[in-house]
Amino acid sequence: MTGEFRTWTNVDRVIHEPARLMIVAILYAVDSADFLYLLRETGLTKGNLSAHLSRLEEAGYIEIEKRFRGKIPQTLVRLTGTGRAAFQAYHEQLKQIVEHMPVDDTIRVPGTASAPATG
Amino acid sequence: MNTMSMDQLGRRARRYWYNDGLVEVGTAIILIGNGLGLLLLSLLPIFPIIVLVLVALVATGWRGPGLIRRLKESITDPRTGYAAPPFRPVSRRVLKMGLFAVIAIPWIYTAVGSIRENTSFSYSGMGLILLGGVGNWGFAWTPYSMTGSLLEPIGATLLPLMTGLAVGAFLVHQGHAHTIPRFYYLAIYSVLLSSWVFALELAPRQYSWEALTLAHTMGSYFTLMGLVLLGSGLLTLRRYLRQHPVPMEEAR
Repeated sequence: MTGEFRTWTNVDRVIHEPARLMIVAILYAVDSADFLYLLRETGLTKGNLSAHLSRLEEAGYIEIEKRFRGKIPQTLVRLTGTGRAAFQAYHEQLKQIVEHMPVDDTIRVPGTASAPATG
Repeated sequence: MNTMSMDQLGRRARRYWYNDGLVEVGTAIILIGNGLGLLLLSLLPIFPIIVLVLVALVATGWRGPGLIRRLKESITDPRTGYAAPPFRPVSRRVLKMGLFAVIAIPWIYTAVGSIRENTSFSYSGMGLILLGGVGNWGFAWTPYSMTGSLLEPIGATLLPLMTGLAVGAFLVHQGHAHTIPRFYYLAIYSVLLSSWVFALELAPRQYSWEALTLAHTMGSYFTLMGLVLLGSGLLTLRRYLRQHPVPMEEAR
């Protein structure tokens, strides 16, 4: 494996997982959000969301604040500076990988339409 | 997750702030409160009206934003959750200054004008300068010399039109930035309304004081704009409540 290809495997595994990527991407776009908002936006189950939030908190990418609004408990989640930087780095890395990925448009995949005309 | 870009994700999060229509309702209450205050002032420039204006300003300007937040806590948060939009401190400050300008300029102009044109009205005029600042947006003091020199060249005639255009431009910007089509209609209404008010102002003056003419036209603009904004906000709120009933089980 060449050095360039090796970078493909060096992506941040904490963020790379699809559900966590979704959570971090949502949190990147807001200042903070509560558990219910994340639940609705991601479509994950409560247990699944909790597990992924715990993993992100362990990595130091998010901070979780439990508080009360009146008598209603609220779990507030916010992306930390580390998490924000990690997401930006991941985004850049993925962009570079995709840009340098060799794709041959002339190769015909069986069962699909004909390859695009060349020349 | 579909192929939603980061930009779309950001727009979606910011649009969420306007989903329930409560921001429009809150802003409408502030506008109507100020509009009715100015109209009353233009019709009856006497001391009891100043007291009513004081109540309206404190209630709508000072307590208004807190009221929106509390309404969101009780209506929106239990249904679809809470998400704080990513306003940067600078843009928040600019927004606050813009809102202050739109609301406070007619008050200050009326007050300054009334001081110049009728000395017996000067105490209430000076009180309004302070109220326009303290009541609305937490500005503790607006220097009299600054407001006098800045407002003098503007004149009362163009102010309603300029306000309507500024509000319209702001609504178009918000509508485009967050993909909210109803803001475009509100922007058109704001421009048409301010043009109508401007045309009325070109007609023979109803008042001998220029300051009271401005209070009348700006009061009309604020009230009529506020009423339509209130209608838009309440319709949006009704649709939101129908689409999002309170969940049986607390998800938090």
